Amino acid sequence: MKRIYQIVLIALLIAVMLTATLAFTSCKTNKEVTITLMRDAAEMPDTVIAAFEAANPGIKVNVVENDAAKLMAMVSSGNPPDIFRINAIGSPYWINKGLLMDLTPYLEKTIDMKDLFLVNDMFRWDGKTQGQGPYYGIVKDWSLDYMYYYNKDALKEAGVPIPSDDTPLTYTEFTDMINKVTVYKDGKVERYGFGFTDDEWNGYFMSMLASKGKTLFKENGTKLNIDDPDVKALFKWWFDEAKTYHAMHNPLDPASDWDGPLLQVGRVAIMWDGYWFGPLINEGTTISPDSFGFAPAPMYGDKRVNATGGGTGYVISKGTKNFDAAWKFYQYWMLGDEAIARAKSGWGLPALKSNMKYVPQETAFDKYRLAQVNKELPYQVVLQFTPYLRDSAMISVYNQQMEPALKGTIEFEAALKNFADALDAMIAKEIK
Amino acid sequence: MLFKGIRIKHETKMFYMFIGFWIVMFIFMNVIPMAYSFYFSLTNYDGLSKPVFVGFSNYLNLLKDYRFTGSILQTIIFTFFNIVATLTISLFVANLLSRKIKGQGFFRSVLFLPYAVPVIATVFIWKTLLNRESGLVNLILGSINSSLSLNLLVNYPMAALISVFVWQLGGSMIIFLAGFQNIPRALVEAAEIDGASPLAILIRIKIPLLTPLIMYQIIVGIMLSFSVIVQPILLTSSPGSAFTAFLSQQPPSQNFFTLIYVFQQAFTNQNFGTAMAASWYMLLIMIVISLIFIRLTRRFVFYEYE
Repeated sequence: MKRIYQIVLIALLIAVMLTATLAFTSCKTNKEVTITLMRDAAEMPDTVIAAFEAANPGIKVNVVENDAAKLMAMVSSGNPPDIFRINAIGSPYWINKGLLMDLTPYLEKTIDMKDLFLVNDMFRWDGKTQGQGPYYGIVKDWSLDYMYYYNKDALKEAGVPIPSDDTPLTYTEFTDMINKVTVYKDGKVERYGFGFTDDEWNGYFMSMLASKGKTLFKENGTKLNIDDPDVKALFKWWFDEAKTYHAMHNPLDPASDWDGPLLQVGRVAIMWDGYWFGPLINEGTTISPDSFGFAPAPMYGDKRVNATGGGTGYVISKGTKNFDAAWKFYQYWMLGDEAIARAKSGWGLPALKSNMKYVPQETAFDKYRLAQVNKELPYQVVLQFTPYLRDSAMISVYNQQMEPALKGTIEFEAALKNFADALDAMIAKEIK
Repeated sequence: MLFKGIRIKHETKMFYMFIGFWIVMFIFMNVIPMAYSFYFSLTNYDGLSKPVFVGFSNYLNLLKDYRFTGSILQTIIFTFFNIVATLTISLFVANLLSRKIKGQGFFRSVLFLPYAVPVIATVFIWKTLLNRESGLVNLILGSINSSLSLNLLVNYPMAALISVFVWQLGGSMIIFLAGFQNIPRALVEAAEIDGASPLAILIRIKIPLLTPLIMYQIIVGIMLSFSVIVQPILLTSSPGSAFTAFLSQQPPSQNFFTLIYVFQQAFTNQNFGTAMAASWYMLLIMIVISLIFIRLTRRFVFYEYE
């Protein structure tokens, strides 16, 4: 028996060594190049990747599902994906860390740079100002996020005048409208005043402040601009809308679903989101798209502005060992037929102006929402975020610090101070 | 076999040969990562830049962070109530199922089934059940009286969370069932002959004999309760937006446990050093609680073989 154990162990050892050797030599001799792509399966199905691989034999795409924690873990381990997805608003952080490839020379060889919409400037950073300097990515599609869809019937029921298609409401008028359309019954919310995109919440603040010529961060993005009374007032406004009127889904009144289905069935009166939300209205079966209006962004100050709060796009890792293959995929997905397919879907505006002709205009509602966007385009600005934080970090820290205040565990002022202190500490640590 | 004059038994050699692989894996998968995490806890590592040694400042700063200390308290409270609720109910159910009743096999299967449901599915089932507007619980309450309505997810989030774990009592139940079946029938029969009631038999004979299993379940329960992270975030976090990444979701303070704090520090705030220090605090607290518990209950645990 003793002998059998020894033979088995030796055989196992040989098998393991043989496998390792074969794997190693196959890597060395195989001409196939593998790139790692972090993608969102809902927007980039497997068929898209399979089509690329079929058209590019020799390039294998190793797919990883889009996940912020996973991305951080991969970056921390020194093994980031070759291509991954980030929001343009938070791109300075990645650029500042030296993690992204400067794509300017490759874009210049491939497209006419004047064909790029202004939104793509969100992926530019010169070390000081977002919107200037080299391009580190482009958006896959985009919207002017601070326009809003409104349910005309909900407004009529509440006795609220229908907003103008051309003249934006003031912030006071907008607040008044939200509060009037919120409906309560037996202590439960029957209809929320407005919905919003949770993970781009900071953009709402930044665009409102841009209307006053102010920014959310000061001193070159090194501090939260919390001492500014207009900034503080905005935080208080958002907090009060959650606390006193429950005008939006929040920890005191969590919604059963996200805002898309809620708007479709009339549980949300106003959707503070841009063009991209349109297909959800088109797909709704309870309320006809013609019952919705699409108004310009409300004005917090005197300046009429609109902007993109997210600007989801793809970037190439600076550390990629297979840039040529990665760039090939990038062109295929971001600049080629796939970009045209995205424009045709109506789920967002294209990165290139020349692809605007593909944006759907079959229905009256689609024509209307595109026309409304075109009216807002002249007011587009590029929002400025800090290069010392990831955009998702700010949202999470806000939730962490402000939720106890919402539930009455701590006063608003104290929570806001804690939020500002936590953010400033993270920024200071980053700068050090 | 002789080794420098010491004869190593064949059995000893076989023993180390068999457990050798496990030891190697334990060192690589546990010891080295733990040592690495302790190293990071002494630095300001953010996951991207080179770590800088900061000594024990992460540990000291944690003691001043009300969110960390609050999370420890909430974790301990949750651990206590979760263990009491889950074990009490699973013990009671196992006792019922250990009897010869009609449909015993059917009931055992049905009661075990929730244990086999994946975590995410479980959470979404309960989120739907407890939903204030459309949940089954409130639909039933509303049919009794239209003003009756529970907002468990908002007002009693820890109770809602513990319900999820109690629903999945199948694992504990099976262990107790095996324990009940190992109780010598002669002891029970002798008690029955002496006129003991079923309750007296349960309290004075069966439970004392089950104390090793109860002890084991409590220790495991402490470890599992401290490891809870997914359920409180998905069940009781604010809005169900499809676009809100897991990272940004914030459970209410009653369900804000230490592991969630660790996760947020590491992957949201990028304070890996602080996150690792918090993990070590967690480990220390778990060890202390377990040791205190073992010490206090030593005289109450009956071991057949000492």
